[in-house]
Amino acid sequence: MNEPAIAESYSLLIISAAECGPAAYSLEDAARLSDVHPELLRYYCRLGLLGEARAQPGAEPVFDDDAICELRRFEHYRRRHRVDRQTLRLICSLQREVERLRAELRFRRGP
Amino acid sequence: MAIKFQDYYETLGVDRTASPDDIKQAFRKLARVYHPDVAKNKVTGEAKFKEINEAYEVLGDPDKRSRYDELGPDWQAGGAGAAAGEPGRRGAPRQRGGEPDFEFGGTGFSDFFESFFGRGREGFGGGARPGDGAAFAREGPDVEADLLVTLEEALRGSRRTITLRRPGEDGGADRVDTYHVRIPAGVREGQRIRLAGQGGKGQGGAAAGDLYLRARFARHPDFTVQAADLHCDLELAPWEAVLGVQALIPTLDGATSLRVPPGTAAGSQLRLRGLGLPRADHGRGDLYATVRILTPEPVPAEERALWEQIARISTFKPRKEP
Repeated sequence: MNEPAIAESYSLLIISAAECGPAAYSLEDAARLSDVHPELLRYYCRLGLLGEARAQPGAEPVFDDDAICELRRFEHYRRRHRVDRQTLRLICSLQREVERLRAELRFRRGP
Repeated sequence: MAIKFQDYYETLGVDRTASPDDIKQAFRKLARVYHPDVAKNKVTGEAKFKEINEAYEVLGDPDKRSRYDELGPDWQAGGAGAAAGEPGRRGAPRQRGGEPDFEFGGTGFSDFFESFFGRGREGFGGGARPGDGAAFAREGPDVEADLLVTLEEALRGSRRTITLRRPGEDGGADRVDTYHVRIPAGVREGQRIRLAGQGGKGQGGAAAGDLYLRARFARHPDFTVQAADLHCDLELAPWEAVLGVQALIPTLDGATSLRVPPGTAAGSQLRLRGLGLPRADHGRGDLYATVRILTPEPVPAEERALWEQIARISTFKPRKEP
């Protein structure tokens, strides 16, 4: 009688499957997903907090998953830790410097 | 959810007192055998390659190695490694901030690595939303996990299956979600793939956070990465450097022949255009081969006599006399 054993194993795991991959978002979508006002998002772009590469020159900016993650992080700092925009800019530049130095160190150490 | 201790020294087959050079050599030797492109058994080879990569990620980094050595075998039983609050260490890693933690499968990193050497899973988020109405409503935290990506995957793209196991609600059965993740050709080191609403659970009916998989390039036995460019060593005999040679070098597109011009000095870089990783502009970076000149050891008597003859007749002065 295998049935009870099968039923029990099903009760242990709920399996779901989803297909996912990198995405590109319009400014409005990025603002909605990260819960920021579109004007605030434009302001972050002007400050260079989201990186030049993420806004296509001349055209409407396009945002990737990294941008959504960073925007949500900005909002977290701003709302929960009352971080002002100048401090946010400082945090961003320090984070980028750390990432750059990590990459440099990794490269220097070689394979 | 129990975390299994990983013996990285055993994985690389080196002694605990091994020098950084010994560790690097052991990694390169094993990585050449088990690299997914060359392994005889693709499935076991890939699993072994990931284990080797993780071990080298820790033992090849002096800071991580020293933290790992401090952990010791009693790492989970309140020993040195379980001390909470020390920088870079995550004692009792599964229950931070009162949130149940996650167990990933298929990312290429073990849970042990993620807990002690990963970038941290619960990053941020979880803010109460103004205007939500309910004062206790708090969105779930966003969660990050590293995803090991080989350079070949970064070049050609791939699909991976990731599992995420988390404790069930109210002590119920564990929940396992499976995701088929598309890794695009040209993925950057550190690039994130967002899985909306798959992060930490919200409170008071608020939405769950997001889950981000962050690409981390696997160490390659031959290449290091600098943006979209690849770098490798080109080892030459002294006479090859002087006379020039046609050398075969490895690339991600297969071995290719490179003409080394006569009189090539140690440290010279030879560029192979377009044999790097994909760039954002749809082109490709370059491959740089840096010349290293190796000397034979020991030198047979006949060769030594020839070198001595060169030393006598050559007028070449490599340095200024003080």
